[in-house]
Amino acid sequence: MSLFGELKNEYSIAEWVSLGISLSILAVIVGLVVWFWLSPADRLARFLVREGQTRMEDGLYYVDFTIENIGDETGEKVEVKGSITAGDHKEEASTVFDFVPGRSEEKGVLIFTRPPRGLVITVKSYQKP
Amino acid sequence: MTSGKKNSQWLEELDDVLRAVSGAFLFGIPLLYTMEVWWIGSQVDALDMSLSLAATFILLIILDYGAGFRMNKKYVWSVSILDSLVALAVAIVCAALSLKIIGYLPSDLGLENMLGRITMEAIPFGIGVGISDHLVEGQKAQGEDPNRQQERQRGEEERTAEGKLHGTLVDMGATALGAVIVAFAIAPTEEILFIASRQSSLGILIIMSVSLVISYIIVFEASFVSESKRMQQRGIFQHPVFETVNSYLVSLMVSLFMLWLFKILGSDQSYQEWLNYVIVLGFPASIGGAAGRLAI
Repeated sequence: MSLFGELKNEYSIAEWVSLGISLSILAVIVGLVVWFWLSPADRLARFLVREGQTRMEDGLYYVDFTIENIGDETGEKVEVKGSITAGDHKEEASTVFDFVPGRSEEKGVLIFTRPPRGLVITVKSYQKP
Repeated sequence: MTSGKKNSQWLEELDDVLRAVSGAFLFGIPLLYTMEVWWIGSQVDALDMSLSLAATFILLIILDYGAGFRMNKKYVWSVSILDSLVALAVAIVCAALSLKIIGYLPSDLGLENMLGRITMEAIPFGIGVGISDHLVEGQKAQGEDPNRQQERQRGEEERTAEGKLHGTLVDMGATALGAVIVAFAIAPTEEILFIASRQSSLGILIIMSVSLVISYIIVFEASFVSESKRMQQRGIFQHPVFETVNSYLVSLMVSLFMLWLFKILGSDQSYQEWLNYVIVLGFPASIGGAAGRLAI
């Protein structure tokens, strides 16, 4: 018996339908993998920090921020530091992200005792995976 | 082809696919609650993804020779390859959905990382699909024997209220045992805290609903044979929905006990945290519990 004839005997319509759905799902997945393969993904980690809203809780200033890794490489233990300078007063706050994968975002909060005017948030260091 | 035959053909296919889903969750869930798998998924490149997909597919073809997810099929190699494609798709969909539910497939993750996590998580889910015929069909042979079924039916009619209570207790015991077997290894790990801390109230409700649906699928839909058998089984809560809810509540109690035992829950936590941790551990526990019911 030919291969197709064999399949025709063994497979019901319902089974063909689920095979069809499965193949379209797999086509999307395989298509994406091929696309990633073809598009070069070797940019080193690079971070952008965006300052968000500030709220006051019990006399402290909570500053939201978002860190985005626009490279392809993952950054581990990414250290973010924020500093404000008002006259003689200099204040720093920092946090560490365990993991910022390439092309993704994480959110964090820095806390200050003074109003965070002139706040500068920078990424100080990260470890290579 | 008569419409009745057509109908049964669709039901049979639904039965097969739901059996595959049951196997995927039963085997895959311990590795869903493993953070290393999430992190590795963020580090793999396209080559690793292709290799893991190919490896899972080959594994499924091999497993299909001995087990697979379809019932009552004679082995034909060409059919086996097509079945393995379906199995791979089921594994990928289950892996993606469950990662999404526990909050480790956020939309800001980036497409490549998402795909990396899904393909890595699809390996254990795929193995589960590949052996699902064995995992969830332990009682197939007994259920198919018409004489035994008749005997059982006669037995049911003779049962007293006391017998029914006994049956319910046996069911609950089996559920608790299954829940412990699957969830005990997960209970003391940090993943419970990680997953719970990411959940909103809606997220917790979704985890609850999915736990109930998957338990229902495992106990009642995995095999229509088992289902008709369970429908006749002794017990106070004979309706499938009651049985599933009962099984879920037992699994939650077991989760609560394990979290307390491992000192993850204590008096310094809020009620909200208690609830979240119990529901998050309740997901694997209820899947184990449902499988435990199936085994008796």
